[in-house]
Amino acid sequence: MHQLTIQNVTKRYGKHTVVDDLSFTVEPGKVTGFLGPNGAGKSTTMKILLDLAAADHGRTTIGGTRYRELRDPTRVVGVLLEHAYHPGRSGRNHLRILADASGVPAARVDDLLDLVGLAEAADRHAGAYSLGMRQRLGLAAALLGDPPVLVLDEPGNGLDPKGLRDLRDLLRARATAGGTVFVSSHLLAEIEHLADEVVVVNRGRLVTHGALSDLRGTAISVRTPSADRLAHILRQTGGTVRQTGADSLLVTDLATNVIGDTACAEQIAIHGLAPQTGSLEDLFMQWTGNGDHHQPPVTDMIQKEVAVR
Amino acid sequence: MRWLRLVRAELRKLTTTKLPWGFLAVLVVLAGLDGAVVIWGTDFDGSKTFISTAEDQASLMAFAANAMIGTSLFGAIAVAREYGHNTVVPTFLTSPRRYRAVLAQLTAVMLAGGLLGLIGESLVIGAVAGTLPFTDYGFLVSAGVTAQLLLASTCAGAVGAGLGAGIGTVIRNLGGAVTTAVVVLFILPPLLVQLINDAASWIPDTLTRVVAGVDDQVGVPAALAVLAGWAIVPALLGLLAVQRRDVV
Repeated sequence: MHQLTIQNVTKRYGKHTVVDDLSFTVEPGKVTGFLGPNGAGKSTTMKILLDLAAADHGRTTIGGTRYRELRDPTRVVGVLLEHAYHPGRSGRNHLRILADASGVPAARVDDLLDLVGLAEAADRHAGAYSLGMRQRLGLAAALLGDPPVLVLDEPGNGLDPKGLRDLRDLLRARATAGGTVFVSSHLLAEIEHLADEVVVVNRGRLVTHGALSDLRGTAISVRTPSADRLAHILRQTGGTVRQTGADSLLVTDLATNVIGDTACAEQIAIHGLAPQTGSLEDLFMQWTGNGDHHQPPVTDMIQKEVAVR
Repeated sequence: MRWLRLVRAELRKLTTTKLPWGFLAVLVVLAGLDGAVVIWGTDFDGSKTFISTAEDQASLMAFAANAMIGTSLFGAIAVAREYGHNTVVPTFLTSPRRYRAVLAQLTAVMLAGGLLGLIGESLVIGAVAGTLPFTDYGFLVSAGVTAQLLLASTCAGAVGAGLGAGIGTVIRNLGGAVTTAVVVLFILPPLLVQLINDAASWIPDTLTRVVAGVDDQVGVPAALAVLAGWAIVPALLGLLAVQRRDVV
């Protein structure tokens, strides 16, 4: 059983702090989604965990051991980061090189090529692979040592629906068998189907961490014909209120009974009061503000393009 | 054992792309040029005295300096492209103690460089020996001198590859690594000679000629040691550079 621990990790590039005193754990037996807008520090955190980048402060361990201290890392941690292959080398040779380096039998390469559906394309140059095929090659490389821990950065990128389903089944099976599965993704719907827990970061800091089912329950959806007035009162009571429609509010930091009692005391009619059951996307936008803080909203970009024309 | 696995992986890296075949093609072309020179080349007076003695023939066939230059480019390209294609990421994930991975890579590249040097010299000797019958001269070089030529090119090939690999590890950018290798072997030596007169005996061109037995400015053991130094210094710099550097 390998728990992943990120403890007070800070990473700066010049004056820019990419990861800021970040702490969380990833438990075995679960699939943990790692979410955050572009530039939130997800990939950097994973690289620090894998000793590919050095933290300015803090410590990361895999089952209590630093990555660099692992005796046989390929058999402990399977990793998928950005594409790392020579375009002029075949997929089979790419895997055989990794198998040579880690002492994995060559027969395992053929098994994995079958598993990820690349057997027929195994002897073609990886540079000619589609995005999905390259992703499958990366997954095969991650599974080479049959490791109990998987650290995967955007594993669903470019996969077709069947590929996504296979990936989901694979990761679920690994977690059920006691493995530790840590997956970053911007495909929120995918994470929603896959993850038991999520770690959300924004601007290098931890936003929230916990079981997806628990996190969903932390916001209360309120429907009332007096939304403006109730929002004002609930804010004064200490709640964080976002008006999601003409007659609907999303309230955090207040319990359901407090919201109901407050509305009753102020003689405000309540038509609905329930823990939020919105999509992960709604929660994500709520956790991270507008999501991607480095890029303008798509609607802005479309409007600008129309204006230019 | 683990290190040998890494060397094996690095050797497979080198043999599973077109890079070595490209360099082999260049060696064939160079040997062909030597053959053409033997057949059609003449001295200023129209004679063929440049192949008239064993020493002249050995000097013509001495390939070690060329081997060092060629394999320095080979080493620089082989290592710098690892960073360009990010294949260094799985390498360091497999071997998080990076010095092991870099030492394995240096070893593999130097072995390949030595082999390229040996093949290059063999092709040149073959081309010269094969074309001499078309002239008035026979192949005059003794077996001992031929063996020394082969040994010198093998050593120079390995040293050149080590030098290039060290530079590639430090620079990481393919264009920058190749340019630096060219600067180190073409521009630095004459500069050194201008600054320090005695340096002429210790630059790669002289050293490779000494090892090949066609020059005697210094002893062969000293020449071999200093020649090795031309690879060891950049290789050590490369080893130091990767220790704490982020792989991004």
